[in-house]
Amino acid sequence: MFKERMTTSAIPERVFSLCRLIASKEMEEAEAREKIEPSDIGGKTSYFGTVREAAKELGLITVKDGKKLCLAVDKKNISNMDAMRKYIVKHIQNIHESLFYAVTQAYLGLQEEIYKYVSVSDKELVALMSQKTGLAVYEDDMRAWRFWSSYLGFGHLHKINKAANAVELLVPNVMVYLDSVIAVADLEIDKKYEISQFMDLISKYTDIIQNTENNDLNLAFSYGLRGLHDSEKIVLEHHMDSKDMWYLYKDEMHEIPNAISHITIRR
Amino acid sequence: MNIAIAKNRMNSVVNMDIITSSEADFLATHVALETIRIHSDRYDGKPEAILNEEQVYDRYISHPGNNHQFLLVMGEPGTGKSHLIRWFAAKFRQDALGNEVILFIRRNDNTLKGTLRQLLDLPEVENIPNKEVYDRLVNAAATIDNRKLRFKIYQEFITEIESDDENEILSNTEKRRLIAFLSDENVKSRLMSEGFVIDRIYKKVSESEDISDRDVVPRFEKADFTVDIDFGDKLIAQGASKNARKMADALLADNENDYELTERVVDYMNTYVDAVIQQCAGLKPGDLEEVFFEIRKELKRQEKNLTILIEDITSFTGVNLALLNSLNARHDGMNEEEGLCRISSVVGTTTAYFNDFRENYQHRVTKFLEIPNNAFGEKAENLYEFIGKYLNVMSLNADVVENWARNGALDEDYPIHECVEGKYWDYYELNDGKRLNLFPFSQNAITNLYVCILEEAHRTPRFLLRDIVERVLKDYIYNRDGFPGFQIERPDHIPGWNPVEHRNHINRNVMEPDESRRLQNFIRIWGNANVYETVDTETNETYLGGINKKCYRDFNLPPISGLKISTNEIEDVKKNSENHDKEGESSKTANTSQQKPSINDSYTEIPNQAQIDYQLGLDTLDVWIAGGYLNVGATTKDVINITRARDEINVFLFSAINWQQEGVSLDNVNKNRLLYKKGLVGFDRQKRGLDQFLIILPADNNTQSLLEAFLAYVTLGRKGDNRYSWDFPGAMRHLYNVQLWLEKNKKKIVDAVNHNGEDEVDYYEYAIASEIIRQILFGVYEGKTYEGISPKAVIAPNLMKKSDNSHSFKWNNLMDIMLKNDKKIKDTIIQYFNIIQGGWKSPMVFLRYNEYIAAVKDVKKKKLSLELDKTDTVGERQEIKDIWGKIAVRIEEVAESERQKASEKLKELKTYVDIDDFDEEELIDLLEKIRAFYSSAEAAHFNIQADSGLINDVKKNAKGICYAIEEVDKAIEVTEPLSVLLKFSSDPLAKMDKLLALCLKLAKDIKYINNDVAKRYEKTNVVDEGHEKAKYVNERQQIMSAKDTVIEWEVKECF
Repeated sequence: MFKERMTTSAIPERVFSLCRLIASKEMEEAEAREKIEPSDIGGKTSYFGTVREAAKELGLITVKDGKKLCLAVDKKNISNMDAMRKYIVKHIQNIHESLFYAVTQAYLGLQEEIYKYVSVSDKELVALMSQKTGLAVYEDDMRAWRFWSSYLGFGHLHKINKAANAVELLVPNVMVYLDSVIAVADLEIDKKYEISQFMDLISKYTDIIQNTENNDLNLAFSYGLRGLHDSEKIVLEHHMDSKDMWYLYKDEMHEIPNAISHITIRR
Repeated sequence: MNIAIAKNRMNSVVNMDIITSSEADFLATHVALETIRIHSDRYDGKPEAILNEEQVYDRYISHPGNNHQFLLVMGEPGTGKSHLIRWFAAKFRQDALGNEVILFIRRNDNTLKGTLRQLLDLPEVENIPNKEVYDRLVNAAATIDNRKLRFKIYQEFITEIESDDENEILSNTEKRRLIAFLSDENVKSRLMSEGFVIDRIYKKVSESEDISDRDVVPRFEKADFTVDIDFGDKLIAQGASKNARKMADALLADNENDYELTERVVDYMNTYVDAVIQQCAGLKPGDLEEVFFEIRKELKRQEKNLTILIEDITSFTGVNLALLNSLNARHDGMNEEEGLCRISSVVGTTTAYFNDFRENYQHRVTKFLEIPNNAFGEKAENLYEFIGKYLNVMSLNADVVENWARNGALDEDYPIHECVEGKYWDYYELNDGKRLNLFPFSQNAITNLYVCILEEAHRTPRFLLRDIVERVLKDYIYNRDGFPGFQIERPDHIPGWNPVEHRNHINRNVMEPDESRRLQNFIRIWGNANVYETVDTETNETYLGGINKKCYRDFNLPPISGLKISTNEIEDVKKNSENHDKEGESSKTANTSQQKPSINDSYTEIPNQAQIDYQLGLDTLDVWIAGGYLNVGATTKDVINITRARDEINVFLFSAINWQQEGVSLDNVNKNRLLYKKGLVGFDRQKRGLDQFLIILPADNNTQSLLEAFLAYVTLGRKGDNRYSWDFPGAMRHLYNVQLWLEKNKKKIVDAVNHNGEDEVDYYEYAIASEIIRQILFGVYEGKTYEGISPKAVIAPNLMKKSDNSHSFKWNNLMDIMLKNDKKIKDTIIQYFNIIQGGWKSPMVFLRYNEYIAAVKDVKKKKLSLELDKTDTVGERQEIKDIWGKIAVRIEEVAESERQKASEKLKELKTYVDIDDFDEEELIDLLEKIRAFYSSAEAAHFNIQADSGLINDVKKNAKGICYAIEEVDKAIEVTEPLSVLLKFSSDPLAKMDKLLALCLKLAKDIKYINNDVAKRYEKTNVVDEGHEKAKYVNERQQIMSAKDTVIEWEVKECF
């Protein structure tokens, strides 16, 4: 999932379930597989392998002696799916080279252009992802991408195309992702950060949602920050006399229409 | 505006048709008509010239010389014919040509009598012969009360038909049926109602002051006789006569085909229109011609000529041919000896009305002056000037205007009032630089109200004045705190917010609904439909939505701040966001770069349907938020898109919430989905179906934002039937509202799905308990305690069919019940704990193992004692509880019946066998003795036979039977129902039954032998007792020996 091709079967909930099983007791793969995918029920296709690989790629589990599955993280990191998200966000650079990472950057870089599509697997969008990433992206990659991108908090899935086999469009807004970023980054509560300082502190976590070569934040990032601001988790400010300025995707209807100079974390 | 003056002057200035209206006011309010097409032969061909009204006046009206001319002003209703003719008349009078008598016949006095009265009132005809007779004729009290006139007109038509025996348009039968049809009360009521023919004719005959659209033609039309099935049914239901019904049926059939009969009926009725009108007016055609000739002769005697201007020829309905004859009677040539003055006539008529007599009169028309459609108001500037002049004139004292008119009504002297109200207001600048203050309008308000209030057919000066100028002024004067609160007939044509989300800015800042509505209407109609706040750097004036903020104070509108963007900031923003919002930026720049509302030349363009639908939906939501009801679910125009929005919100919620991540099983979500078919969320104060939704969202601003976003999605983003997209301007802000709303409300939704009232959803526990019982009842599980049933076994594919067994009837009955649901139960457990990707159910299984194990453990911990008092609101969840309920309620009685049966059987077995310490060895020994018994019996020729199969079966299962007897013996002592079930789970009675069956057979056979021995013995004693005793001594010994053997078996009661 996070190395070469993305796989639809390795969804976050399954990775979480596997981690929880391993956390209760280290066990050989065969035993774990039989518990999670009982051989006498369900289909013949096993998802176990792809799920195990995704968990390994994210650094959540390891395999001892070639067959014994062990939890690679403290149990508190898998106490619930929010905790697991925070762990993944904290170590997001572990998958920096992945197709998932590249597609995420490209997808969120589309800004409002994404609204032209009705599904993440629209042919034109898949082709555009290939073009933007310079990597081969297939429809199945995008189908798999949507599960993790919505889980990590890059946006919400919306089933726009109602055909039974059609998949959703991810409507970008990284509010949930940024919420995790703020939780794992070493930030002080109630300290008013200058915006550049703040962006530096979170850059290794937010590089996946925007490669910030300039001070313009993309649509998903901007509305993510606005969402946290409107939820009173952070305070965005624009001090006119500040020389340090970053720019949100413009929305003159919002209290923070464009420029921000300071940010305070409120918890 | 000077309201103090305008209050007094408004009526006389605005109502230009009333007799008392001032010509000076008319001239001061006149706006020139720029496009008049001139035709010579036909009015419908290519014009020979296109002139403005001044040119037409100079060329054809003001200097007719001694030439007879008949000018016809043509045009569709509302094009401004009468306005033009009135201007000709006023202008002509201003020019005051010495020997030209000018007679202007106005439409406001458009009855036949009124027209003749105007002719006779001319000072030049004071001395004509028979003047007194004519005066009496036209001044006599109306022959009939106007209120009764409609009935009179109607009755006259029937009378005409009844006395007709010549007209061949209709057959006599058809005439009879038509009379019956017209005599029916329903037909009468319909034809006399507004818009139908009698009403149209009435308005031409009556002397009412009503100002309606006078261009209607007082003739029968097909629509008057178009009937539908409902109308036909109504006639039948209300007992219409046979002939009336036949005519209705014929018209109905005709309406569905070729209208042949309808057209004949229309033509036939129209032949009587003139006669009926004359009859009702009490005049004859000859009266008019006679008066005309007398007047012309008198003028000739005075060496004067006559110019007659008739606003509307339909005024002469009933005598129009007589009028045309009079106007076309030349003073020269063959008529020279008549001594008539020269006549120049200018007559206004609609194209349709002229068509009725064009054949006979077309060649007599000197020129056709055609006013094209929308010549009035073709340019927005004309409307601004028109309204500006009216506002100006009504703010001037009458004497000021009269003076100006008396002095030649020169443009350079045109008086402008001094503003008392609306000093900062929008204005229209005349060519010479004079400014017409538009208070309380703005240029945008004029163009917008023109479209939002007037239907296309009513876009004429008259309706503009009555329905816009007068209405708005009165609202301002008498309803200032509620202004603008006047009626707007076509609210869907009010410009929508641009950008659409600016509306929310108002809602956020003005909480009181009525005030919010006022402000919204003001900015949308008067301004630029946005809330940008800008400062004019030259004047330092502040503008909100393109309107000077001081103007808001004039109407006591709520003071709010707009979205402040300075010119510098526009540049700044533009520079910084060049790459990411080109579209939005350009719209902002355009709006802020100009301070005044722009003149919208394309005001006649209506918004596209999506915008209209969106705006209508927003208005509906406003009403709801203000305390009204939301008729969501209905298919009426105002809520159909709200319904669609609601449906799409629910589609979104199902896909946007990562249910499994939130700890909700997809099996549970799916069960909710199947119950709440219209979706999870409904709305407070929706008119119906409140009980059909899991969550009712409150009527507050948050819900409104959510609904508005999806309203935009289903209107602005509509791509076809049930197909939408977020690809429309402003979608990102709507989506932001949606996503923020979701994050704030997700927990509430998740909790609602995962709870039944206060309790967490637990239907899977009932499924697990049911499955555990199934495994016990069907003997799938062979352990001694239910705690031993493994989680793996609970979901394993181990469903079983029912086979022969020795369980009690009730046990079997419960098995039958379980067989009906076993698959559903198993599936529920698996799917509840299954982790599914991209769907609601999946045959592939990947378990939430830890949760599943915990659930099974929990059920066991509760000893399968699960709550059954509370009903689950979700049917499919309750169904699982119901299944468990059927099981749970039977467990005790099944256990008792099984125990009872076992007890009885054991008791019966004990009559044959002593089961204390009864083991396999004893049983085998017993079987040997049974075999020996049957051998002996056979040797003694008793007619019995051993059941070798049964004996072998018992032998084969000897160990199991002994164990079963022991188990049953213990089981019947157990009282706890679940334990009883577990004891009998492997059906020990079935094994015990084998031995019991053998015992029963043996007992039966022994009884038979005993009986047979007795019979044989009796036989021997009866024949020869001594001999027989000797004869059977051996056999007796054998039997006695067998008896001894059997006694050793301890089968006591048989012996």
